[in-house]
Amino acid sequence: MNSGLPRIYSFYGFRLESELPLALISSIPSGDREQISLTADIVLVRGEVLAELPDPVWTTPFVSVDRDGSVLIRVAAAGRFLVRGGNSITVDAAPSAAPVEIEAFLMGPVAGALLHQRGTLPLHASCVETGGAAIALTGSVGRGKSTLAAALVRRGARLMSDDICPIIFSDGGVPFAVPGSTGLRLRSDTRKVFGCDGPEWLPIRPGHAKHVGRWNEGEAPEQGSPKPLVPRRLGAVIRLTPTNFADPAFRRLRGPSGVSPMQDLVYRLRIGRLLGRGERLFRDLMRVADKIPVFEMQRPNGFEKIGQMTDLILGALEGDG
Amino acid sequence: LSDSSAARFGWLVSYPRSGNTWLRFLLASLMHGGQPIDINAPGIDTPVANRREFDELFCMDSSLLTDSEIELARPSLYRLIANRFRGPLILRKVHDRSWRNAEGKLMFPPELSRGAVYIVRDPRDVAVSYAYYAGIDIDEMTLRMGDAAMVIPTGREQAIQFRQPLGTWSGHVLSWLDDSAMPVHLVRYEDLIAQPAGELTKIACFLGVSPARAHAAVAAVRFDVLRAQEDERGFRELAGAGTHFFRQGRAGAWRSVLSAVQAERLRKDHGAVMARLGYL
Repeated sequence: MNSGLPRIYSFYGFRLESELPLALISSIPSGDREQISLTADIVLVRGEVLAELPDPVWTTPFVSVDRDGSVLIRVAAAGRFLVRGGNSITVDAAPSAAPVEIEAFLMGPVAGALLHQRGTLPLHASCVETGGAAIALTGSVGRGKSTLAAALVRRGARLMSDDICPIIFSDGGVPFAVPGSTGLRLRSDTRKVFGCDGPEWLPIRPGHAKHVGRWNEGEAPEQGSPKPLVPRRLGAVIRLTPTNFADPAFRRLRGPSGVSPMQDLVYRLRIGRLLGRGERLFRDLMRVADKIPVFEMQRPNGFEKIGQMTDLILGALEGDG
Repeated sequence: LSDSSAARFGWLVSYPRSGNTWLRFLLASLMHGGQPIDINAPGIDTPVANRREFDELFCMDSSLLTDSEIELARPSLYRLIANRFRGPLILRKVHDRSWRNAEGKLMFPPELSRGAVYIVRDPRDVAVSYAYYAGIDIDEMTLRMGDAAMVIPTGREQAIQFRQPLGTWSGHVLSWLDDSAMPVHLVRYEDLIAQPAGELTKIACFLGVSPARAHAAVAAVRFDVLRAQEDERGFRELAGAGTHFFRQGRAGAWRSVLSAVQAERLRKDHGAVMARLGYL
């Protein structure tokens, strides 16, 4: 492992200079760096992080938010992560923590806090690209975002991000999805269905049912390195909800009902609100709903109907496009 | 009963397939003046082991945590819920046995608890109902009911619920009756079926809810009404292999279903507690 020069990564749309090597996001090749910029948006360093912030205005066993907007994330067996000013991440890894564990938190709560600090809307969504457009699959924990993303990748889509999908707007107000972590986190039953049980799949925590692996590369090996992921125009937002029945139901949502309740669409909405961004997040969601079709997929438990669900989604996109 | 204002949780506790859902619907109707209820939105409670609530309130992805990390935090989750909730009574459905986390803290903090309503059902009927619900045979279910390591959920429900230890059927009963450090009101499912208004009145008084509309609530939540709603609109808490959550709801159905060997196994494993509860 090369611990010499810091590396530059593309981290949810920002240039991240990291002391830690990261496997689940794309690094920017050194040859390209000068063309892009030498300046990083975000710097990740290793260092000591205290157990509590100096002036916390809100705290849970795992997260504190300081009066100055800093966010501390702490899980004893993994480490402490201090996210400041939208441009600084300090990682104090627990001695026993494996790199994959640290990355699981970076590509989760740390990225969420950072995006809120920077004023970017983080959809709680797994996102795939197909036909030049992005499809964001949103829903609260356990709704099957990653599973449906995996199914769409099987049908030729490309994974852009698992679990968190930043949204930016063009000058004309058109929403674009930004690539994030292409490490897909899947439970053992899902991995079995998709046949991804190889040694490249690592448990996100010791003994944990969820394993993470880079899905695109394993799925579609190409000559040379794959084309880098770039922001894509958002083509659809698909909200995954539970159903009482055995068959999926798919329908267009219109108006404000398409984006409420907000906590089902925005990753860690509470942190955004604590940072004073609640109103802006609401307006950004309304801008998305104004430009982009929002659908509800009532999703039955299990995997039997996954093919039917991907048909419904891909069909709706064709109809719309 | 503790009447401290901090003690507002009313835990509605049972081993699975013992009438917990019906009891919740009775209370939901009672607290809304005996009105009919929507089984998919009864409007009073959330299951106690819900990852979504944990993630939202703690701002942490429970899917990134280990079971033991979640369990160390669960008692403080209930403290946070109590701090945020304004009403006089917080009703929550529980299937966990009464147990302690690795720090020795009770999962359901007594100081936050008005008490627990523990609904118990003849384990022979539980075996029949639970086997159907889980889609396994009755022999397997009778073994599980004697397994101290029994934990739910076992399948895809793990993605939306935490680990909930049940232990054995007897151990579950005893953990709550004898070792929960809070007032416990014991209700037998069989008595709730035989005298629903009377039993509901006692439960309501225990929880500090007005029992005035108990008869209306019983009428609004009749078994055939629930089943008809489930046929028409489905039931979102149906997570097992069976096609219906509300199946028969009868007491004593085991007599025509269990073999003598199966009944004897349950009696051998759980006889002492069955006798204490009047099932033998």
